[in-house]
Amino acid sequence: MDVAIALVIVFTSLLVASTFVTKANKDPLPNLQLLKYGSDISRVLDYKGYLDTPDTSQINNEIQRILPNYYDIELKGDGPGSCNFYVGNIPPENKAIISGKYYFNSENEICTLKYKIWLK
Amino acid sequence: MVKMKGSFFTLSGFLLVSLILVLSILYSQTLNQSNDRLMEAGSLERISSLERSLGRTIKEMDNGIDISLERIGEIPILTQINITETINSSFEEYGSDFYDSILDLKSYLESDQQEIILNPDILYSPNEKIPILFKPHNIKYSHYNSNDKINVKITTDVVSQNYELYLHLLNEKINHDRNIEWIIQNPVNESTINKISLTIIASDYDGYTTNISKNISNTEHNQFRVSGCEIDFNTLTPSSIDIDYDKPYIISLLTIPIALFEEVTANYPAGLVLMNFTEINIFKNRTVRIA
Repeated sequence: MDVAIALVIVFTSLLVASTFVTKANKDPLPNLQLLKYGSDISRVLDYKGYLDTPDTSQINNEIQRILPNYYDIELKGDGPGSCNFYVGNIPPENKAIISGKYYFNSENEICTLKYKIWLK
Repeated sequence: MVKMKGSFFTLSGFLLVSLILVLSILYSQTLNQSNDRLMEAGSLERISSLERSLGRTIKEMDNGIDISLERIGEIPILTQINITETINSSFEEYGSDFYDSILDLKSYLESDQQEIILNPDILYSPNEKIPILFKPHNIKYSHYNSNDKINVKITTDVVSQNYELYLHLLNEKINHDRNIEWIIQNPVNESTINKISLTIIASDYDGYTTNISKNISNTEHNQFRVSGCEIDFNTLTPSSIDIDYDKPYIISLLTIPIALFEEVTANYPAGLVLMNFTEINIFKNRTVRIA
């Protein structure tokens, strides 16, 4: 009987300990990396002039060239005229998705680029 | 004896399990704090991305002035600041397109992202327009009203014997028979302690170039004239150069090499962009870097 009680106490303690460790182990570092990738990709597109007069196929080609294989992205341009565009894939519902916003000029109009990026 | 052994064994087991539990809690708390720091870093990265994109958007709107910074020379390391702009309108009209674009951006931005406020009055006041600060030397290049004409004013709070100013003016047409007219009111000799080396180079579209180098006092008033460009060099603290253009369509090119091993940046004044993300306790009073 004593042994049984002792074992229950020991295993309960170990279970609590493992719960703490498991909870804490949800490492956000990859998410930070995702955010940086999204931010960098927006800047690359702007600096290379792809956002001056946005062209869906050109942006798509550049995204495929610069985005690492194990990432996926959705880009939405918002604003007047040619600023409205959609490139990439629809984000999944069962994965961590990181989003961000980037302002840019296109043909003297102010526009925003919203990106969502996730691990495939 | 057996009972003691059992108690000792139970106590040891209990202490061991307690140790594991305490260590796991400490580990959990440390990782939680680390996660908080990473979340902060993520928020800062996101805000920094917004800030950079706004800076680039504002920079692209200002198409009236072109600034380039280039390093020249090996020892000493010199940074050359080149400013090129066309001043061909009255003070009232000067920069009005840029100001209108900034107002458009302000209304767009403040409806889209309430946490960010633009303050265009810093760039466009009734007396001074589009001031640009060169850091870390605090050289200020701005335009002010002089009887509805645009005067360029260059001021600095850094004055030393090693400080050299080069003023390169590209004028419409220089009278080739006349060199730079140097009307120095307070000439200084070599023994003067508070003096600055100033070189003026004037060129015109025909390729004609003339130049002059003088030591000027940084405590006295100095004045000289370049074929139509009135240059008033007033070195009272803070020292300043006022360029009074009396002809339209003049492009000025200012070149200031600075013998300091530091990175030079060109910025609009602080307070142009205010960011107030109260939920994550971030308040930023920022400016826009132009070059």
